[in-house]
Amino acid sequence: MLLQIAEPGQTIEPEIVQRLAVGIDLGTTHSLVATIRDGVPQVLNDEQDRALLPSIVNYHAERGPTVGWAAKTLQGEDPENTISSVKRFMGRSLSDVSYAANTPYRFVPRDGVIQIETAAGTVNPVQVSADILKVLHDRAVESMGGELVGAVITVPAYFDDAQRQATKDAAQIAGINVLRLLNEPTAAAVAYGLDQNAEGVYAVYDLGGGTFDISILRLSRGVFEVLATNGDPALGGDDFDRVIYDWALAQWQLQPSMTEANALLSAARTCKERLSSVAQTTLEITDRNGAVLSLDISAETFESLAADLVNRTLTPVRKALRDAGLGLDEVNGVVMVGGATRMPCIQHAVGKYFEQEPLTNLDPDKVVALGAAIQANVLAGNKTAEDWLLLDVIPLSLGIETMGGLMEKVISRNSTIPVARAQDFTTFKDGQTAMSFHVLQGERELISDCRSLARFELQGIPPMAAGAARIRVTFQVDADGLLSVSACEELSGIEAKIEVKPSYGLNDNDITQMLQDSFANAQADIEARRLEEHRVDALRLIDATEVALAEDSHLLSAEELAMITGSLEALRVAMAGTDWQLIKQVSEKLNQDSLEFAGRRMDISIKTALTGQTVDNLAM
Amino acid sequence: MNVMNAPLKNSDYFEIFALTPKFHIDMGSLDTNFRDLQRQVHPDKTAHLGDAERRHSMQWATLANEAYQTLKKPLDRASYLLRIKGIETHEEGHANGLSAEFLMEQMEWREELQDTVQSRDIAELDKLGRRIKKELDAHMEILGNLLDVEQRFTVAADLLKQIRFLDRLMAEINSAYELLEN
Repeated sequence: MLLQIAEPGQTIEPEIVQRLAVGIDLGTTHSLVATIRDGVPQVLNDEQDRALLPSIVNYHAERGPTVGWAAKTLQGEDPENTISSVKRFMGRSLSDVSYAANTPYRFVPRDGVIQIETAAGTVNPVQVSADILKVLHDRAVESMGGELVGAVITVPAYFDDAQRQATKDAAQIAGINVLRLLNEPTAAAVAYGLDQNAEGVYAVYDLGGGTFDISILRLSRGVFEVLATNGDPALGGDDFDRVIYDWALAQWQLQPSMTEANALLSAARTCKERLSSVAQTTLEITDRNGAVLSLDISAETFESLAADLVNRTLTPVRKALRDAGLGLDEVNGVVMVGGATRMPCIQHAVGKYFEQEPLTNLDPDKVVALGAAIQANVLAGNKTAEDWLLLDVIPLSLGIETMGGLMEKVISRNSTIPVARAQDFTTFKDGQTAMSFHVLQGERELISDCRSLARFELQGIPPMAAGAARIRVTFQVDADGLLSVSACEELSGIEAKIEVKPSYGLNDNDITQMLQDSFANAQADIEARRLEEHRVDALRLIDATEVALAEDSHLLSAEELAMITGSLEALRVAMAGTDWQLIKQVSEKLNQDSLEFAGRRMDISIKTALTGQTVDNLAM
Repeated sequence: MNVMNAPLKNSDYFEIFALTPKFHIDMGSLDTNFRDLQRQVHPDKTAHLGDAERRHSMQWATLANEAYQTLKKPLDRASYLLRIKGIETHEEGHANGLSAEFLMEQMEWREELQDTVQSRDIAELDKLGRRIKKELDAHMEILGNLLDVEQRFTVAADLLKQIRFLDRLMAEINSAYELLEN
């Protein structure tokens, strides 16, 4: 390369190249992409000048996935293959999501992760989300005229580790470099705060299509400090459609067919939206015999139907304020975010609770994407006019299982991230050489009330007397709010160390397969990673199978039981070795042998879900 | 900032924020210095740089958060101060070293708390809360004096142990409000 020399007396202006970065709001009902243009954050519209992309994907046997508005129009005629509100499934297993029972999808029984059978084959929520992200990515590349450095993707503040990891994986599969996962209410606070030059304590009330978050922030001289966050990961605008739907069915005494149910649900949504501006409207569908069913609904009726849901949002609000150590009179403003906050009943309730008019001067649909774009611009290394800083927190406590099925908190909720904390443990028996750990997330004391994030084992502890070893377990939460855990024996000086990143049911193979389907991915030390991850997966599988057997072995014949316990034993043997392909093979055998069993168990759990007895309904 | 090194393993929390290691610190300076440090080291500021810088930035930001949280809370600050004076305080759940008289009083207060919760008496709960708060404040003042003026660290460590009990009682009173409100 030749050095450039300027003519004497002439200075060279360094060329400032804008590094292209975007913010993506991956929402339950709609998604958006935004960027900074000429120093101004703005949402990127599609060819028809629409900002919102419906988060809906239709899968078809003969063509690639159809995403967005086109998929929305297919919902009526092809409900089984048209996936909407997939965000509710992210990082969840089927038994977690009571909402699943209300959907027309064909779920494939499998431990851990949700899978849906479609005309284009089996898909999982991560793939569906990746398909939505790809469309937004392509929109951005086309609109900005170049490949992106990366994107900030927003997640509900109350998303747990599994849901965050699933979101990050979806972006990776879509070929997007994730600069950061950013909490939605925090993104909104950044957009609002910079736009309005706000100072003081602000509450961000974020009611999206399927999730609710409340965050309390202190804005002070360019620092956005989240003091506390709380929420409900399974409460959103969708649920308000559902109360109208349930009410109409009760009024008509109707057992709906699938087509009727779909028509009614979309009519209910339209009604809900209309009732934000009119006092009365009519709900109308055509039934299976071609007759028109109609029902008048007033804003008052809707408000009373929705009262319980509105109140459900206020409990997290109270908890967040308490965690922040603040009284109502210390809140300078309440920023409303999410399309569902357009409902007058929400604005009334929030205004009444905080004793002040909520702030609605930014578009509640766009403010999250705009905030994400502002942060993406900074993370990409572009120079900005303001020097501001974001200090966010983790929403849920992280801990480890101790004797008696109790959770010992290692990092408490609302700790500012990044954060690391270590806890020491010791051996229970003389000569003990291994120790197993169970990593949990949640606020309750009993481990059965918390979310299990990972199980792992530390091996190779030198034999010592009981209580002599010092096993230091370190939890590290990065700036994305993602956890990694390591354990190591400290006294002996002998290296016995393990590091795990919790996952959420999708195994290495799934992810690799999805990546291959999507684009050629860089490969780095895949062998070692595979062994580790297959071991972790196998551990989880063994554990899940044991739990399933303990709970429901009465569902099996003697032969079936013998087959499953045989495979279980084979997997334990394989796990001791270092051949990941063998572990994988035996795991698959065990999975295969348990398929029928899992199906029977799932039938029962769906039945339970229909009667409302799921973890969704338990307060965290 | 061009190059960022990893923080030292045993960095002094007071030193990080340019504060004199004392119990009474200027909270305003703590806040300002914490934010100024985070403006330098936070991972958001190094996201576009290389691996090593990003790793160091994460370590620094983690340390800054830990140090800030410790110094912000008076009890944790006292405990940390004693630790750098060479006195490890094992306050959590250890009753040894506490006088029988003190423990009796604790039990009485706890019974009182249970009674107010059972009778759902918010006014009584307020009263109890105020009393404990007053007690706590008085103890804290003595603690500050022991640490900063008299420098009697072993005595301070014993007192801190008592204060932890009162602090926990205060936390229980706060959760009792939650219970009564529902």
